Amino acid sequence: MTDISHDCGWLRKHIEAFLDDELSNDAKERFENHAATCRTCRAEVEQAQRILTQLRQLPALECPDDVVERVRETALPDDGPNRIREWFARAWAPSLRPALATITVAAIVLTSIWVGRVNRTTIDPEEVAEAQAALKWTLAYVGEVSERSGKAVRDEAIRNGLIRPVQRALESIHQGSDVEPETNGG
Amino acid sequence: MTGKRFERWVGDHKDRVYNLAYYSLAHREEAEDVTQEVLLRMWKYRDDINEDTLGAWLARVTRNACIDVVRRRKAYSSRIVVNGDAEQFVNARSREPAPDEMAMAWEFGSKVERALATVQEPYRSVVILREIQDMKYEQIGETLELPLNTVKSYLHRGRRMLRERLNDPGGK
Repeated sequence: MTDISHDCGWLRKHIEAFLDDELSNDAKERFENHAATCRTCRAEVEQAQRILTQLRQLPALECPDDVVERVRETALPDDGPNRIREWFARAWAPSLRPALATITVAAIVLTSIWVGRVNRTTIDPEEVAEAQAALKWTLAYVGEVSERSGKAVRDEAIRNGLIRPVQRALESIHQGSDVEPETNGG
Repeated sequence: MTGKRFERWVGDHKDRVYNLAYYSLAHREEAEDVTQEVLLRMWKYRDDINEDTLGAWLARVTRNACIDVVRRRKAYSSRIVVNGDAEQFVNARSREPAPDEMAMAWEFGSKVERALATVQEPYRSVVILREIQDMKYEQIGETLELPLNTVKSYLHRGRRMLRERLNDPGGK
């Protein structure tokens, strides 16, 4: 049997394991028996328990709002650039790629027609009608996809960057087809 | 990464970062500065950080930032000693919390708090993460890149150091 009266050193060595309830039953009994008979060790265990309890009760603090505000001001000084980045991220979302691809193709076709017009004496009204139909179909498709995806495709950037230039090209072609026959015929 | 996602990260982790900094330094303004610095680093490296290990990354960066603050304090204290002003040296070492904190804090809790800030690294971080932030040994190991047994042994050593500081506040 262990002589618990000389266990001070042993107890000190195992005090952390006792606090974490990690001692075996035998060791725990030995620990408690010694603490019950040794006033110094008992005081030490009680003080350790008190400190640990206090440590675990230290309040969870909230980060002050002004710290977050300073971080926000430095990291996100102006929403503009981020909005643009977010718009590009949205615009390249997989659900919108077909619409953008169609717009691009339509823009290329219409531009080719418009450029081709410069070296031609007349424009076939059928070509204009076809281009108009293609554009209408494209715009309808974009509208439908944007509705379905719930994304803000009708963003100003889309309108200004893609749709309006195509519309202008179409109008230019349309005006050219009205005017040129007269010019060429004169 | 979008601004909104960054804001979510900040919202999720700001308190944990601030707590670790505050209890490591026992000084409100320094804890605020460290928190700000750490959150801005999070913004800087936002595209390289894995969200699954963000908590561990933040704890590591916070701990390192606190170590830097303590080093700067020591360097500052040494300069004062070299200048021969012993009283200023004492004042620089014993940073008392602001009066409003003092009034609010329970006396013993306040002592524990201040004693904790004097425990050496890495023991102090392990104690804070385990006993105040209630992290599991495994999480602490991942955070501080330490084996499990080392975490446990550092925790026990850190708590012993804390008791020694409280029993003998003058001795270091």
